[in-house]
Amino acid sequence: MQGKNVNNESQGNDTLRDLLPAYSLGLTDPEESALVESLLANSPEAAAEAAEYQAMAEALLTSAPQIAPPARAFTRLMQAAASPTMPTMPAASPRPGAMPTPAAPLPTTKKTVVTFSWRERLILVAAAAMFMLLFGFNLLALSRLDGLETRLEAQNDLLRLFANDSVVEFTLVDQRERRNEARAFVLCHPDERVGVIRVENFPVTEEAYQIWLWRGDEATAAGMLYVDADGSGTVVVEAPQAFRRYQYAAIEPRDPALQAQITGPLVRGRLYLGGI
Amino acid sequence: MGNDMQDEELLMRIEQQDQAALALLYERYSTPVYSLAYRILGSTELAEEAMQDTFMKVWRLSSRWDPAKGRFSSWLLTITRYTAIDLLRTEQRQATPEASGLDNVTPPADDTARPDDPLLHDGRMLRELMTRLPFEQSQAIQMAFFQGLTHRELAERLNLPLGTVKTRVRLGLQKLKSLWTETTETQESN
Repeated sequence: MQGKNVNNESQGNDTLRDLLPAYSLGLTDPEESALVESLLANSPEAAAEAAEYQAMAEALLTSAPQIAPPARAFTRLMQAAASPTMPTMPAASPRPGAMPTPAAPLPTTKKTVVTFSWRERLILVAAAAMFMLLFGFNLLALSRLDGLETRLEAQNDLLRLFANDSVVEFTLVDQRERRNEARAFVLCHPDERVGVIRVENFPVTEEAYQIWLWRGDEATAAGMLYVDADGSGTVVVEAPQAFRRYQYAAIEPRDPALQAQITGPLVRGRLYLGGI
Repeated sequence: MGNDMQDEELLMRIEQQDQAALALLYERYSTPVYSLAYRILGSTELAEEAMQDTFMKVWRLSSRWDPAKGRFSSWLLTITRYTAIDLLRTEQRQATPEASGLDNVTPPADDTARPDDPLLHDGRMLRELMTRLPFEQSQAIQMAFFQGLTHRELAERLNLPLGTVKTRVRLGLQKLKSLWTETTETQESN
């Protein structure tokens, strides 16, 4: 038992030694970073060494040859700071044709007692049934219209995405040791929530692949993806927030047979790093 | 407003939307911010855009800086680095894909400006130390740091096995830290 602990400790030290330099400069993957952090918690010496590396990383930030920015940049910044961040909404104006506010109280109605013959009652019941039928059809049509509207919105989002010059394609690379064929491409815009993911050379399976978006330590499920007989597939994803909020994307198999071969995601890659 | 005002005080004023404080902060840090952005993007227009974006983030979100977690300059330059890397990816251009060293950027006219600035002293020293590393190690470190690449992305970009890339980065950083510690200790003893 004690020998096993010594082995674990020795493995942990080796991992820490290997990953600490890259971790300190922010070059490790989220899993590697989490592993280093857990090991650092029990090693004050390694934590001190990490601090030295981090001081070096700070110096690296100022290691570029120094160049003064153009004078116009200051004016531009001050103009941007002076402009309001959120444009104020104009006061709501009445819609054309909207009902005017009544200027005077409505005249009071007279109460009258109406009686119907059996023939008239029959017509009224038939009219009510017809009304209910039409109302039902109307509801059905509205729900279909709602579905169409959602699809139209998604198509509009996509059109807007493809029409935008700032659309970026990120590549997610194969995470398997000595394998390099699986690829995924994330097409997105930093300010949009809708993006497109295309995958190639994925292991063929009838099960879905799970798409994840990472923001800090928090992973968000962003939908599923199926691949065809060639291991290719494309899916439109709708992220909970704009893509600029996510630092990583990853895709992992849900097929238990594949999970046994692939630990963790099949492909992964960086998205946007900025945002504070 | 005094030029000797501490960063903490400037940030407090910026939180109150004091434009004079922002102007002072810009005067203090615009050169290192712009230089870092230019190092990453290799374009004056894009560097200007990244700098504008960085200062506007500070203007809107200055309260996010926590003095307990480090110096303001490090926080600001980290935001600059991430902002510029994001912009680099957006522009789909690789400013220095075959980066051979920090000096492949056009030599600026005023590189020797502010020789006594403590913020820039360490950076200048590190730039000099980087030249003492083997080319492959220096290249791997700089591509990873200034283009925001992970080990795997770096391996793909350099068309090398993952293990080779990890070793290059690790050995390079270990050597750089050793040189860094040695030089710092020598300077302190003098």
